[in-house]
Amino acid sequence: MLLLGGIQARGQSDSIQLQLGVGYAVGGTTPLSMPQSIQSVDAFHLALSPTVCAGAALPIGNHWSLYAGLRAARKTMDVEVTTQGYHMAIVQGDNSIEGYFTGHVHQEVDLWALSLPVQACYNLGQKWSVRMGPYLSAVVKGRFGGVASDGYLRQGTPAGPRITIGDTEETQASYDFSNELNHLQWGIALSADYTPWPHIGINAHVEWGLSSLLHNDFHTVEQTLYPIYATLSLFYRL
Amino acid sequence: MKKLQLATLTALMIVVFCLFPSCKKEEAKHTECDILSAWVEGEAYEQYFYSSAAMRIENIPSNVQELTFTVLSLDELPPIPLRFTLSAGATISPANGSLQDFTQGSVVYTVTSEDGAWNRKYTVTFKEPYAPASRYSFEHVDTVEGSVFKTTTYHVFYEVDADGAKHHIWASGNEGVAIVNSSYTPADYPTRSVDNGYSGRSACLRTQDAGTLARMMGKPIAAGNLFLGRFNVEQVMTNPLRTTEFGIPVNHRPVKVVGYYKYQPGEQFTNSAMKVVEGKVDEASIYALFFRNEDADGNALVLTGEDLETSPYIISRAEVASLPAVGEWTRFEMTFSDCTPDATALQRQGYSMTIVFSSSKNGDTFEGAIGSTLYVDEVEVTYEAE
Repeated sequence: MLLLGGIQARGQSDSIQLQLGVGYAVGGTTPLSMPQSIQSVDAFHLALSPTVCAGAALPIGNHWSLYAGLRAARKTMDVEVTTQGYHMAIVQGDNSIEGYFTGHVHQEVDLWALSLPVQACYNLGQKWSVRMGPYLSAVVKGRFGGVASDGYLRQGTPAGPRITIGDTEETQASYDFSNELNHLQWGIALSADYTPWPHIGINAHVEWGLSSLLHNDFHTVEQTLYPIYATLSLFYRL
Repeated sequence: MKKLQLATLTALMIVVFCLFPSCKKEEAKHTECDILSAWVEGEAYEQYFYSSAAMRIENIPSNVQELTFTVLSLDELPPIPLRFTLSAGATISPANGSLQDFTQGSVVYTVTSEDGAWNRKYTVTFKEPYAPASRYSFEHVDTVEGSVFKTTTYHVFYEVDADGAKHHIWASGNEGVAIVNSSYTPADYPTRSVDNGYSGRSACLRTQDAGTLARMMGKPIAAGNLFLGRFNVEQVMTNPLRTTEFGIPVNHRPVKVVGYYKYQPGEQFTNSAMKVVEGKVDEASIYALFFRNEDADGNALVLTGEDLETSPYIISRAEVASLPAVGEWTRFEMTFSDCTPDATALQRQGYSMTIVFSSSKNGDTFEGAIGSTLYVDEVEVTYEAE
């Protein structure tokens, strides 16, 4: 609808401006402060995830316009951490082992999301504009899982049975909490457009999630995780 | 303008990456509260023990909270300054190394974690040696709840001495099964006590599906097992052969074991990948070992399933050659191979014996048939006369 609106309005000055872009997103899902149970982040494998976006800006004043967009983005994260007494669970079918893990955790997140940012846009002259506003994001498909290895789990509580977790395929412990993903998320989107050429520009866009990545009643991962991703894209302004 | 753009992007990136601190953080306070080892120090105390190995308990499994020291005699045993190594940062009460009188019964020690949030209670007992009974009838059984899931219960066999004291000398893999099954009743476990024994009650061992999690970890079946020794849960996922810690001290050389059994193999024999092996029929196993329980350096030896074929400390073995499928109680007999234990060491609790029963001979490597069931009862050990 926005797209159609943009196309119909094309050519009229001071009317709706439409832009289409492609880019790459980078970021992660993280608690706002690192819990003490995560002793160190050993590796953060940078994964660039493709994004396509479309947006329309409706001028509403001298410098101001109202912007609405639609972004299809893949948001991934691949991080390796060393934990000490990190609360987690290994779930397989109807069996599970839950407890406090000390060792190595390889966490992977892979989300296919459709977001809808609605932002106030301020034009800083001909070439620059900045935008800010809320976004709503629908996670169409997602995986949240990983592998715990090379350490031990205290089952139930830190005083519970100590169970060694190995580092081979059969002795490490994989976990998958994809079913616990919140499929509707929201947050604040910040963007900056730089348009050095008549139609082509560069856009930086940050989506800072303010809703939990995982269901609120899911407590195995004790910290509330927020998705925070930055996208750099090239856009074409019609 | 280009500079500004770069600055903006850099700022955005910093916002994102500052959330992933790559430097090592300040150590969190430790949460564990275990006794890792316990020992009596000092030459003055050696006279009360059979050997220096008997003065130390090392490698205490996380699922053990009862520690027992065997002394020559409780009479005239002075207060003992028992020492402990604990989990990092943990503290113990009564104090580490404080003099305690163990002649009036057990002393309970409480270990508290460094962060103060967790504690465990350990019961420490000094006792005179328990001369293992020559007959095991499997009449005595406790129904205990899981250490994590209080909603599951299983059977633990024990023996009673002439004074009526309980001795938990029998162990099984039930404890390993209990860590993943929160709702099992005793009848759902591979090892349990049942009626209709040869006389009174008997032990029933059954090979069963180990569940989805164990299957994922390459351990698809759980054979019913029962052995003299203790179960250490620690390596249940990484190396299950190490979960069976065999043996109880004996002070006579065992010669022969007889008893009664019934056996029915399950229908389909499967390998560790849970693939059916056509034509193969499951077999039960009953065997026994007699071994030196101190290593060359005088330290207590832990003999596990991993050491069965290789340990130089095993000086004699006995095995029931074949256990044909049979629906009626049938006598079995096995004789220990010849050996000459050191008489002094034998007298000083330096040798141990285990008897092992399993519903699937290769259950320790997860090969067998689900449903294979072995019943055993009225097991009698003959020792060499003094």
